[in-house]
Amino acid sequence: MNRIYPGTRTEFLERMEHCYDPAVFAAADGLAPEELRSEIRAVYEEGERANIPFAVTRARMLECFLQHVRIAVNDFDPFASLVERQTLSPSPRSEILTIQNERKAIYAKAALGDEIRNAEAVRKGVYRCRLDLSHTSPDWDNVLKLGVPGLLERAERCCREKPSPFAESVRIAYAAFRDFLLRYASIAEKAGRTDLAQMLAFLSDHAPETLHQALELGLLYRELQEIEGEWVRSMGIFDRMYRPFYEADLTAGRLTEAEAEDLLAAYFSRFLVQSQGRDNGTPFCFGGLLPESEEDGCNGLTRLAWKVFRDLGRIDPKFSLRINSKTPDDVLYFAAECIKEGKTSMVLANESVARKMFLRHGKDPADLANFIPVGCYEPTIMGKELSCTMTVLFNFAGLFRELFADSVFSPAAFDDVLGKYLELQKNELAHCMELTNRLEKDWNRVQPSPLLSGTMDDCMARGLDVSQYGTKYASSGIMCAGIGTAADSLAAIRRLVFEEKRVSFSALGVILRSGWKDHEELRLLAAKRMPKWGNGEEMVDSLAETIVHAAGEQILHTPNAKGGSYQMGLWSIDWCYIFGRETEATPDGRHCGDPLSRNTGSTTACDNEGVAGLIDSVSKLDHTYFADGGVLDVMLSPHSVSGEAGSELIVRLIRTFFARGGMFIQFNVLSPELLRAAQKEPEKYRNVQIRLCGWNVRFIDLSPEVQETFIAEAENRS
Amino acid sequence: MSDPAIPIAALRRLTIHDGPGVRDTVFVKGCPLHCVWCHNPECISPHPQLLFHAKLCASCGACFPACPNAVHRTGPSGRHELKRENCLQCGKCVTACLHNALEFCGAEMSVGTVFGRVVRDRDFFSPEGGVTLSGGEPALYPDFTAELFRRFKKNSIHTALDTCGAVDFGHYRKILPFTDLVLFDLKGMDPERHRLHTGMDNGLIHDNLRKISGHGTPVEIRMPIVPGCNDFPEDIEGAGRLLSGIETLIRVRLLPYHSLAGEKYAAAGMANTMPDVGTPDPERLRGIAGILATFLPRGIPVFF
Repeated sequence: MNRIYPGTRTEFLERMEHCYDPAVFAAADGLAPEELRSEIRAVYEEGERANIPFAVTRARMLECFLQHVRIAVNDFDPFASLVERQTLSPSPRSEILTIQNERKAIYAKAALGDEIRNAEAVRKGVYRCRLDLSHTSPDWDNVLKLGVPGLLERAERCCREKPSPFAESVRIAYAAFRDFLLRYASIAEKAGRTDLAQMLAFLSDHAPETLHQALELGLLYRELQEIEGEWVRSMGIFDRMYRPFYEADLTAGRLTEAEAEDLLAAYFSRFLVQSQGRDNGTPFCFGGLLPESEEDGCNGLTRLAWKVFRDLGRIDPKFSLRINSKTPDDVLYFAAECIKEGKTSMVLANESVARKMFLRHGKDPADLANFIPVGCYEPTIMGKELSCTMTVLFNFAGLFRELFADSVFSPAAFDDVLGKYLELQKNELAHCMELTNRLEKDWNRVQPSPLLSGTMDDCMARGLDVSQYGTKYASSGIMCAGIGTAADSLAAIRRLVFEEKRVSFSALGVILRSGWKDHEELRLLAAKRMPKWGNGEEMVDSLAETIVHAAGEQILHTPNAKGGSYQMGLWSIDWCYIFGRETEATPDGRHCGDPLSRNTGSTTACDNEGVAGLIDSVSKLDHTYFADGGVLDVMLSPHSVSGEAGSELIVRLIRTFFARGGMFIQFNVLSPELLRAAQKEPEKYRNVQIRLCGWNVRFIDLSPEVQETFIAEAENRS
Repeated sequence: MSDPAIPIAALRRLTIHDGPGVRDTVFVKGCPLHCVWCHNPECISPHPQLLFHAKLCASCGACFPACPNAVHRTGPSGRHELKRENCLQCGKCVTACLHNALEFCGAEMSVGTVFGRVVRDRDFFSPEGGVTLSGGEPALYPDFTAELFRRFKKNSIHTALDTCGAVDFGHYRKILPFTDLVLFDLKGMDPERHRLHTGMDNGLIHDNLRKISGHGTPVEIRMPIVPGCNDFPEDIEGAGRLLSGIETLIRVRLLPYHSLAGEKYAAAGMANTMPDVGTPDPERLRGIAGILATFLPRGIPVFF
């Protein structure tokens, strides 16, 4: 008899696929979406009228939502997590976010005047600066260890000992959480799910004791934090946090390993069911050195979770594995086997370089055990860091337009060009940081986060919200895109203008502005005959190193307005396409509007020396600059990893890249034939996954433009 | 110190199908056999060769004036045609073609160059990985191969020689002292059919296999399985009998035939000789492996 859910596993998984389609919410159990929206708006307006501190109003808005939102259970789900938020707009679809966006726009305009667009400072094709409210992680250890009553009690103590609007806001939020659990329990009871009712009632009064309860609490916490207004960008270090519950269950005979596997299958299934592939995936971290120990944390739960990941073979959730010298071989090879099978929804993290990077950025060695990648692969300290990894989006390749725009500039040698490029880069980065400082000073007026802050020890000890920088660390990330395009462009200028003298600098500028009109031969020379980033060629690689070193030093030494620092990231996610569309023709032979190089990698299909050449180039960079992350995308052909040695090759790529100083790596294993077939008959190839940027999507859901870049990459490997 | 050079067709980094573990594979040009099913036809001739990849050609005509010998022209069908007999391998057309449709295959590379290219990948190699010399037939170049392998051995890099066995044993005698593993191709047991399909009977090859084993070097047998050409019961059983006497045999690998190399023949301007037979299915390979296993000592695996 299965103690997890009624029926068979197959039946259960089939039903889970559809459980969010016709979510049935009883009208009597809460307010209709429109009514709830007006209730929240009323709470907000009342708070503003009465001059109540906004943190308290935020907590009251959450409270109002939790009191009145319609919730449901069904007859097969081992978890209670059906909250009617899908029907509200915008995502996560509550009035709370709408109000947040209104305030964001108001304060951004006050800070920057007319320079802003959609609450962002924008220079098309060069940068975006904005308040990034959504790339942080709660302190999951506290959520699970203290539970809702423990977190509420801590907030109440803070109210007594250090009364403040902040303390009050946290207390309101957690009291609302507790009451919500009780309300949910009564609804579950009414629906005949006594099992869920008992679990919810238990969680209102206790910290979780079983794996099932811990997973339920994690799900509900995530739901509530996203309702409060901050995406949950990591579900924490899964195998370390849930291990005690799992082992206690096994010891007490409450759960068998097979039941635990079913429970995890049910748990992981819901992430894709909820997101339908739209939310860039839900990240779970595994492995890594344990606190105050030189031992790796992989354990039986790690293996069980990865087995479920492989069996489900879905795009969401997405896993990350912290790899160190103690990582068990079987876990690493298991990950490689998943990659070989095309189940690539994962990123591999190099713990030793991450540690050096954190120390370089002033982090306390004692905190490094709580390293997690948030979002896609942005390193952060779980529960101790306000990490806003997408505060500034910067395009290295966007500087060429300006480089050629100065009619007085007449370089006599390539070094003059490089010097001018670096000066532009420095000025633009400085400008971005200055704009961001002005935006970030108002953060507390936009985004107090009582529920999130309530999980964090430092916020509670200092009596400060995360938006008041109560966390131990408060960083602002600068995502730098287009490194390959920029280095290739400088290399092309050096070769075409100064070494081969095929065109003058000013004439090249005119040609680029015209979009290479009437100069196809020159464009082809630039595109096909010049040294390219990603092949281990010294000339162009040293240019990339120069760009990265200059940006890294500048960013590393600039404090932000939050009492922390700016951090450089070398990645692009899908901004290689967005910035690409905004970027004119570049000297590397790229047409106006074409995609830029993705993440740390080469321009599409220009890594002609294979993966080894790509790693030769990318590992020359000093990855300890990349406190905001930096990832290498590796494309492999299925043939190159077929047979018994295939996973060995993948492991060698990971281990060698890491030994040479790389920090994050992710894979695609695809053949151009498969992708072409999927273009022709999408329905037949619905399950072909692509590691897009830092998350997986179905190939058939990509735009034709993006599909073509992946086909070109796969062709280059076949 | 001498630094011999030979024509190299390609250097492939991080391969797993040409010997154990993760390794680099160097394909030399020149082969004493002419197997009809050859998957690397551009490696048969020892001379540099112009390859033309028609699907990359933009018909821009840039190669026409670049060539001093009128190799390139527009044919009656309006498509780019090559008059290869005029080609003196000057390479001017390759430089002129910005679409990378023209390529030179077989530039001479010295031991030092090949060594330098491979050694940079050594941290990728798995403990059992290293370098494989393939082709083409590397044993055609005993001085080059011996010197290259000597340098790899000196640097503790595993060396594997992929050979068809059809060269004078004196060549192997030079190479084997620096060779960790011989990947030895067995292409059929019937001497006449062997001559028909490869241009040479198999007497010398079998003789060399025994001598190489007698030298003490571990041998992995690689058997291309080409339906209707070399997969008759007498081929499989004959191979089993031959291999039962090979003392240094460590494993056998069946290489199922496929016809994906057709484009390579076209690119090299060679007549496609590949037989129009399908790829043997896993069931067939399992059957062949089962027969072979009855002849082999216990513990010698047959992979496919």
